[in-house]
Amino acid sequence: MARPVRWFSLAAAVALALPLPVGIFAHFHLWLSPNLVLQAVLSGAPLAPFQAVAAGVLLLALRQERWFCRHLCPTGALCDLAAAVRKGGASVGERVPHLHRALALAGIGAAAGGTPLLAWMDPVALFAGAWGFLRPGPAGAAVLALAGLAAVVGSNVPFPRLWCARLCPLGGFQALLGDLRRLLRRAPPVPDGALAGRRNLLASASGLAAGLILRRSLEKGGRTVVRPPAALPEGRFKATCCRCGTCVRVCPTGIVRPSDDLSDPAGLLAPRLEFTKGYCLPDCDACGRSCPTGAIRRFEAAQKGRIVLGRAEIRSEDCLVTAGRECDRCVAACPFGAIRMAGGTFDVHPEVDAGRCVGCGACQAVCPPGAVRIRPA
Amino acid sequence: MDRRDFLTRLTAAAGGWLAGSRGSAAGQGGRPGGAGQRPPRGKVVEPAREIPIVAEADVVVVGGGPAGVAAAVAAARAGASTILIERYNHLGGLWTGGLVLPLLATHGTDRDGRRRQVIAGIGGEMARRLAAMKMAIHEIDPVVDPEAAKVVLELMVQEAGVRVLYHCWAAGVLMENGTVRAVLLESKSGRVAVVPKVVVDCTGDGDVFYWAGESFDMMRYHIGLVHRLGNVDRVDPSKPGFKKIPLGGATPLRSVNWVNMHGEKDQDGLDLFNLSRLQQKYRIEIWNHVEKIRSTPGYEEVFLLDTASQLGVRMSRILDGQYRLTLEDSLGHKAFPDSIGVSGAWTSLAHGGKTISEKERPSWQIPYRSLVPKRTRNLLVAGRCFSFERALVEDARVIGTCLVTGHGAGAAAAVVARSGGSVQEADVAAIRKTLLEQRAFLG
Repeated sequence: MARPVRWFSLAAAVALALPLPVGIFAHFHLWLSPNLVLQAVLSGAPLAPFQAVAAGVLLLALRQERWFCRHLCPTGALCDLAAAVRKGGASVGERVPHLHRALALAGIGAAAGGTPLLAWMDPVALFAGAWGFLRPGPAGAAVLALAGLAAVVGSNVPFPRLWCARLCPLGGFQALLGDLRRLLRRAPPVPDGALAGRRNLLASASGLAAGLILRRSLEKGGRTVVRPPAALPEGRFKATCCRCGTCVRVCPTGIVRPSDDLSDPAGLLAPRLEFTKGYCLPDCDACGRSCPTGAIRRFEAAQKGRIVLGRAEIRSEDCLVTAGRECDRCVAACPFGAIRMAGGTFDVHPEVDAGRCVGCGACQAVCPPGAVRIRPA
Repeated sequence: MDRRDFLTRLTAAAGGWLAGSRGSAAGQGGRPGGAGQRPPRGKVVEPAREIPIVAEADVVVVGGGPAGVAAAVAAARAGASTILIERYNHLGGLWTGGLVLPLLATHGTDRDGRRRQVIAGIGGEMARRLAAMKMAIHEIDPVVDPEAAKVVLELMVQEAGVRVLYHCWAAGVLMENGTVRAVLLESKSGRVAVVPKVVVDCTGDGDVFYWAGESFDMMRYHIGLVHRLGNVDRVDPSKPGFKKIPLGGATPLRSVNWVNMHGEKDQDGLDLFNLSRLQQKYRIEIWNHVEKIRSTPGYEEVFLLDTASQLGVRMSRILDGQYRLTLEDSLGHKAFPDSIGVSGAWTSLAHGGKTISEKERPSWQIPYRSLVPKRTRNLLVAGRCFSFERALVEDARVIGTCLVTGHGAGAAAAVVARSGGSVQEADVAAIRKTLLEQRAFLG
């Protein structure tokens, strides 16, 4: 199982995950998972050029049993390392049913229904998300980000190969491809293959149903935090985001941060914008280009003046100019010329032109007394 | 020596040089400033006349604001005979008469991330003397008492041996082979000329480099009028009906606050009619505003102590000099081999997607070349009109930076006056040596 190429792949995934300027290659493995790419495409995200590589992976997996697991999966390599800690597995793992096909089918079904609810379970997403602990951000989010991968990898110590063989949806996806291959070759199907049990039928049907039902209900509800530009509507955004953390990683100004807000459990680890030390650049499209699930839709940097993240609100009572102090930082900082000084000589105050403001946060970031807040749109 | 002893006569076709310099400035890329923007209602021709030369000096500094005083003191201390031209009856310009009391940009962050004082030399000496008199509050970006500052500056020019001509307004220059041959002054003694070896333009509006035909950037900005309130320590919050009203900022005098004014935006600070309009409007508005404060329960004792003796013109002409200092230069600890001083930053900045708070802003070196015009051979420029790009305006236009550029230009003028030659080919090493002897901080 442990081919040298797999260790090389793990080393590459780790190297790319380190905080180095590698741009959209930060989590290259995300583009390689046919499970993740299929879910993104089924839920309506346009295919990124790199994601075409996943089609090649799919063909290879069709030829050879679990080709991705054997050659590329960084999470699987870590699992094997953990399993090697204790020789000979416990028997408990053997009693857990093979759920991986069902999980893959449920995820694909949900994506076909419009919402890739289980994208976060993909092992490359778990792997990528775990590296969030390397980035500045809330400590709670760092622990949470690490927890998923730690649980998957750690489970191999008491229950070797429990994750890889029985739970992993990407493994299940490849097992389904194996079922297809056997069917094409008229070979006898495996006992709990795709066409065997009712479980798989039930899983894909319920996934599809959940996706369809949720798609409708997730359209409702506004934002309470500012999301990255061109993010899906709030409910769908939280359900679609696979928490890989790539947008957090690629944001050049460091304003994309994973949420650790426990009062919004559905939004945990989903990216939100915080304008404390920076703002959203008027000519940047990095997060949109790097999102593997389309939770942040791809957009053109040239459209940036029309993609509304929110609107600036200035509290006059905290504003320096209103208090007669020398300041015009918000006016000078606004890339869209949306703030001007209004009022007469002794009631001068900055005023936001709601038609021009897109909520990029430059005014909030620069305001010396912190009198500006971006209200999410 | 009686000035009559060296009085000679110059002939000037006054109308001629005026029209000529206007045309050249416009032709060289600078937009025309001042009343030139209004179409004239007609023309009169001033007859050619003889102008008496009333004084000669190594260095003539035009404008007695922070930059001009620093320049004059630096030049005189470096051994140059120095004349300082000032239109009002005091020194300090907008810092004192203009009541813009904070000495901003005294501090910046060095390469090691430590925030340190960068305004040293003559500017630092002013701040120290005012602090010793207990006429400055705050260590970083101190706020001073204007009358105390006028006295400190007066003492410093007198101690240095600067000859100050008050109550006269530089009205033009006579150019000869790319040099300023004479600076013409309008005064109660009539129109007079002073003959310099080197001129330092500290007019704030760049009047001298404009007359000399240098190109420039004309920046419209907001113009206000500062005033002071007295008895601010006698506000009684226990009065029924009391509500909190902003009363401006504290000054070294307990009972006195200074009140800044943002003022109308995008104003032409060179347009005579516009300046008059703003002056008239603000005078009434300030009075009415203070009356409103006084009629508020608890504020009865507060009164309008004074209004500034000049409008707060924040920006007008910016020299297009040998080197135009950029915001980028100011953010990266850029080292200039011809640095004549270092300034700091007083406010936050949004740049390239990141916020840099005023505490994090780096100090920035100012190269000699940013004080040097492209053509005129004996002119240096200091104060808010030296050569920088607009993005740097908030830190380039403040008192601290004016003191630094003034000190640099004054020392340079003395060196050029002594050695002869042009400002463009000045001995930068000698200028920097003079500045270091005068305890300037060059980075």
